Amino acid sequence: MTSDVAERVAGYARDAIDSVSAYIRGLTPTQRNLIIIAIAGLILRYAVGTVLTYPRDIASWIINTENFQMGEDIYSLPGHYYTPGWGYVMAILTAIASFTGMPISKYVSDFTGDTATLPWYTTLPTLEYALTIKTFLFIVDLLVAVVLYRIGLKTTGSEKWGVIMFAVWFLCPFTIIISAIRVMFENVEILFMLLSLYMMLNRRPAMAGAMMGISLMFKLYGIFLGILLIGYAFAQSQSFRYTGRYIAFAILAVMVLMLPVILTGGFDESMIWLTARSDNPTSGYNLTLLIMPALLLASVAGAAALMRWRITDFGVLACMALAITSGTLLLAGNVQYYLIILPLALLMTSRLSILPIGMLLILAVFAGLSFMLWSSQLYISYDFWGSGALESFGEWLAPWESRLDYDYVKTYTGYIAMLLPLMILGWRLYMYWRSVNEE
Amino acid sequence: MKNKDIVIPVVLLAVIAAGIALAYMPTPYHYSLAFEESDGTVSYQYSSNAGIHTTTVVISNTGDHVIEYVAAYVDEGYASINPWDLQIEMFEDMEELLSIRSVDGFGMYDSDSLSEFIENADPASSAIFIASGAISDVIYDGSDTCPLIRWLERGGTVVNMSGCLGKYVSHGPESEDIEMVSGYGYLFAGTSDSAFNDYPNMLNGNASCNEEVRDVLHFYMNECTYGIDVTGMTDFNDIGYVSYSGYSAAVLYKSWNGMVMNFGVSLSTHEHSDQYVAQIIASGMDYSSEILEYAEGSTRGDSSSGEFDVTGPCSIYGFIGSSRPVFADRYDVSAK
Repeated sequence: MTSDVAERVAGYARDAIDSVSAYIRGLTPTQRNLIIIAIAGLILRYAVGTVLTYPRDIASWIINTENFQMGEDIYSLPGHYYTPGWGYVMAILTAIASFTGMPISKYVSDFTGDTATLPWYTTLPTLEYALTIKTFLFIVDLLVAVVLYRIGLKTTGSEKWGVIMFAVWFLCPFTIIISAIRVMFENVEILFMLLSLYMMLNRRPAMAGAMMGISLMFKLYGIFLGILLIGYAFAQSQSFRYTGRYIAFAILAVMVLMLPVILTGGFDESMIWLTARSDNPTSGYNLTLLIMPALLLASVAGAAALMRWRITDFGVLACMALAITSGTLLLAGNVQYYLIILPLALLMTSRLSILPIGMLLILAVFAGLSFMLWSSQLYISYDFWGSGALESFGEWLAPWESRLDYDYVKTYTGYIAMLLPLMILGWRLYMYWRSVNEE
Repeated sequence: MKNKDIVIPVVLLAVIAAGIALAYMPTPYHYSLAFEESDGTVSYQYSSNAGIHTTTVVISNTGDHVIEYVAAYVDEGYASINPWDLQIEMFEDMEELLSIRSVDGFGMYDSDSLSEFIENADPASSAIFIASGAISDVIYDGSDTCPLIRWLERGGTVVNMSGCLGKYVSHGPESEDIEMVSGYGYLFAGTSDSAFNDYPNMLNGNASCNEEVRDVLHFYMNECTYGIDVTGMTDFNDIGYVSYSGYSAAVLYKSWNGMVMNFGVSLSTHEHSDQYVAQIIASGMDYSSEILEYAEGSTRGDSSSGEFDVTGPCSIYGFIGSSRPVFADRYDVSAK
């Protein structure tokens, strides 16, 4: 009886292995490459994400979780400092953590410093909680790569370009740092933004609008591309109705996501990321907010140009979006903001773009690593290493920290990140003008 | 082929819809904590549909200051040191944080209604919460016959946060109506005025700490901007961090026949410290308290219940939560 069962199990296993082998044999080389890159990227993420965690932002996600467990909504108690999109994701991750009985966090007394009252100096995530959130972010990273591949394929007709875009995004150390160590949700905003672009390429303006609206409810950087897409939609369709559908669904998505917040009196808190920081006269964010109107005007001008000259060249659109969005990076302090450079640079999809893309990638990686060194002692996954490692890792990296002036790096990274895309845009527009004249 | 393109957007729309439902529909999480006392033993049983860490603590106390109602002083007709809108924001958060700890009585009172409250409320189970820095002259005038001192004489509790208790009297709505008085240190704590810190900048404490309270009750308070130097004081409980200059971030001390809970944090960062203040108010801790025993467990499995042999007066305070409590309840054992 037992041997029958064993034989049957062995038979199922053989069948399963055969099916997988047949599936792999049936894959095209491109599909095989994509799967290999995806597996390698995921292994890298889990390896890095298990041993390193930056506790500052995840401390806020812990507060999100605890507030939900208290029966509160996103803003009824302090702790969520963004528009509500990420709060909705945290509500789902909280349910997963709570119903599986997962420990969330620990107060760690050896971590208390001068400002122990602040949660990010006392509260550290457990490994399983951190990996739950990171897993969500890894899936999003993968989806971003898939969408980039599809956009690359559609705009260039070349599988090779698609694979390059997939690989550069998914294996880029900077992307891995932001989701696996920094545990920030920039990639979610980017995913919805890229889906908006992809839907527009597929002439689905309503879905494109909905995706753009949701993107803005995670972070606001997509607003510039969102405005440019109005011009692109009109250039693409020559139809006010088509363009109107894009705008209407973007507004509808924002309203649907904001409605519960407004009805429960949380609107002011949902805007605190903008308002609280603009109140601080010494903050770099304040300068960013000052140039925001100029960037919005530039987006409107860009959209008008796309409409007026009926420009449907996707590379030009990507260049404009990159040049304008990069303006927000000037003096905007946190390293994760630079992540948006990557997909926009990749979307320029021109062989001659390789140099600037490469420069932007190096810049982004440098910014990411320098930020890590700036606050190195905080990056240990406490639950993995134990308390002793906090000190020793800090000591090991201290000489590097002292050699690196983070503010200096940040300032010049900001300048380059803003100026380089402007140069690329100028070059791209010149190329476009030349090709039109030749025709 | 075209329909395949919208699979990812449609799945993501469903995820967002699920998130909205979970965030704004009635909470899916339920908790309860039941106590039963018999023959000097108190047993407890947690239940919840979620699996979360629990801590159950036996805290000795006098039994005379176990708070069930909090009256917050808010009177915008009188000038205060801290902005009223920030105080109201803090009190709104505090009401929520106390409520999840099963302290459901909370109200905001102006000077006149607080005067009435002082005369009529039960001092053994009520606290007056002051975060204004300056107190209206209807309640406090620097003398030992004013209503606030009468409340302490009756055995009531005053929670003072983000201000120097008794230093400023407010006579009207303008900032120039605020008068500085002297002798408040002796009036409230039997010590000198200089023992009460009123430092204009934030002062952090990291010289020493009451580690037991910190680790068991998850009470990490180390800002001593309005801290107290307890040297020379008698009946007090120093429960937070202490600065190198000797100021304690959190002190519970006997005042007249009552108690003052002093939390030295700045109001500008109240969103980080509110939970700690709520934790101490709800726990049943007073100036005589010690942590006698505690047990950690989970809302699931064998560790969701237990028992303690107790001799009153004491409080058994149980809370659910990895670091910050998401639910708590207290059982008070009176003296036999």
